[in-house]
Amino acid sequence: MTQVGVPLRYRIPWRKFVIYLLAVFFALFLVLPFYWIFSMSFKHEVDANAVPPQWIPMDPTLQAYLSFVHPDEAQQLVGSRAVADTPFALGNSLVVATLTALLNLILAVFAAYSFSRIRFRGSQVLMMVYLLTRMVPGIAIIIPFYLLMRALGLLDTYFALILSYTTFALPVTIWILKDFFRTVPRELEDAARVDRCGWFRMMWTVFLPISAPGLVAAAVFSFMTAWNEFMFALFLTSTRASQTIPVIAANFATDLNTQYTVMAASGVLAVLPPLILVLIFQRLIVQGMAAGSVKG
Amino acid sequence: MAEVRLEGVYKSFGSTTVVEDLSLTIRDREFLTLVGPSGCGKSTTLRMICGLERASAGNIYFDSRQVGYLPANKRDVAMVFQGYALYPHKTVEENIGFALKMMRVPRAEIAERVGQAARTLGIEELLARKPRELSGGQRQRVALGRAIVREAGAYLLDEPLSNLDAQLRVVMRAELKRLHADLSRTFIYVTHDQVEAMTMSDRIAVMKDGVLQQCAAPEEIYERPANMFVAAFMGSPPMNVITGELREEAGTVSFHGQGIAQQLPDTVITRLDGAGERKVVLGVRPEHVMLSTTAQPGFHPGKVFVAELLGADVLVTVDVNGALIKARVPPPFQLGTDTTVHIGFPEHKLHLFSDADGRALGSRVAA
Repeated sequence: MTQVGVPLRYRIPWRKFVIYLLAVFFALFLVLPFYWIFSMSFKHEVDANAVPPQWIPMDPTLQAYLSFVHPDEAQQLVGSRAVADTPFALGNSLVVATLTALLNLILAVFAAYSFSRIRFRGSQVLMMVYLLTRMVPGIAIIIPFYLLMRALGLLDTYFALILSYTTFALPVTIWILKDFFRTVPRELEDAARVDRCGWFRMMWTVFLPISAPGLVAAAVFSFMTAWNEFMFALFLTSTRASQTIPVIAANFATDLNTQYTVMAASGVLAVLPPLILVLIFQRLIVQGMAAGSVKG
Repeated sequence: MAEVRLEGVYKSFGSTTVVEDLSLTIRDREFLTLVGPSGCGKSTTLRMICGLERASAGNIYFDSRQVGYLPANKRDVAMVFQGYALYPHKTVEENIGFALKMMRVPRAEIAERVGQAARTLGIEELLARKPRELSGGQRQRVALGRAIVREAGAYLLDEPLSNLDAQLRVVMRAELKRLHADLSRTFIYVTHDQVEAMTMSDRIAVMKDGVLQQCAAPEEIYERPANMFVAAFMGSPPMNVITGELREEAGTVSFHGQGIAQQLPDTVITRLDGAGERKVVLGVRPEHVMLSTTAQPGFHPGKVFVAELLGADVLVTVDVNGALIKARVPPPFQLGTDTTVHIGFPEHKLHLFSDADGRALGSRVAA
């Protein structure tokens, strides 16, 4: 006998439920701190640590941001160096990160092309050696670096930072590009050769444009490496001439009077450039990363 | 326009020799096809002519100029690649005009020549598109356009039709042949498809294991294959081969093997004199096998093994004392499986090969 009209028992998809719940928690974990400094940067100092906390500023103000341009008398008086240094530090960080990304890209393109196209004895081992340099903790090499830069007269210059960051980022950049370059069909290179291109012409007009997603992913990676780096910047820089944003951000905590809102505003400013970069190149970055992982 | 000459060319990768002692002249304005099974060295040969691969030994000449040491971008060649190799970031127009741009041809002239090439190939309306927006056949045309827009000494085509579906392949085959006639330039074409080789070429060079087997006009290759490999490779379905030996009695020569006895014409005697070959392979193409329902003198009785309708023809496989002989006959063919039939081989369409090394013994028995 068949039963009609009895609905199937609805099963609660527990598995899905739990996964989504965890995902939401994880997202909050990542986003909330950033939201907190974002909202704080628009508050008045008195409201910064108000109890109960103001999730949305009751009386939003741009005061914190303006103080970077015009530090008020009180701030100058008590010696908030960090506030005055922030605009310089942002500039320094931009220059250092951009040049690091560029230098990295130029060097890595040659190396990665060789790794991906030329079969030579020990190529795998060499790649491993490159990557192994990343296993050495920074603290172990910071003193030699410092002495080296001092001997070269590069202390407190962009060069010191760019050279150091390039040594950090280069192995990984080469690795990302090597995998990406392997996905570019060799036939395209052959076609360009037959179409009267020498090697450099072929690279510039065919190979590199096709590799754009990989190049962007690699550039963003090295930009971020330079943008975030703290310890080497702390050792190798000493003045506005080259101090980068992480160093100045740390100074906020040690300044005589700590202004939470201004600190938050500098945090927001520090995040903006990489954020904009990633938003612009989002599609290419994902392509670049995916190509490496799928075909690697 | 140029004559391309290879002299004693070798190519090895590590310890494997891919091309061995290849000497071949491709005449000016000729359509020459390099054909052979995969791995026979035909593509490597093409890449050496192109300059993408350097010969391990030997010389390559364009007319009287030696080009062996020149890289691809310094040789005057255009090439169509198997996978088309269109630049994905460039439009069709830029793809076709790329070589001209690299050669610093004035912009107005590039536009004109690209337009002309596009008209020739019927792809004018596609010029603004990117390769990913094209179908396989369209991509193929663009790849061709990229070659014909050049005024190169030689046009190299590396299995350009192999990625197309069967119908389109037939269309493009005819168009390529027509294109060669119109352009009147030297074409060197690589394929593993013997039908393409047969239909399009002025001459065919058959290769096997890096060694040139025979280079001749299609009719010559078909009618007088130099050895068993060429005989079996060219022609579809392949030639019937029967292993056996020659017997000489009372001034006549006959073939005996696999239960088949076949009288050979008198002319064969003179050809075989001195050769001393007695172990031979008899070959006959399916289209030359005669089929009869009644016993006839010189015919061999057998049973229908299977009959396959090909459309224009019926391919009948006949079991003659255990040897499966294929015959290509006009339809209709109404006989069922295991019906007794009689097959005969016309004396003048027989091929004899040495059983030892496969070389043709006086190619067609009675030439």
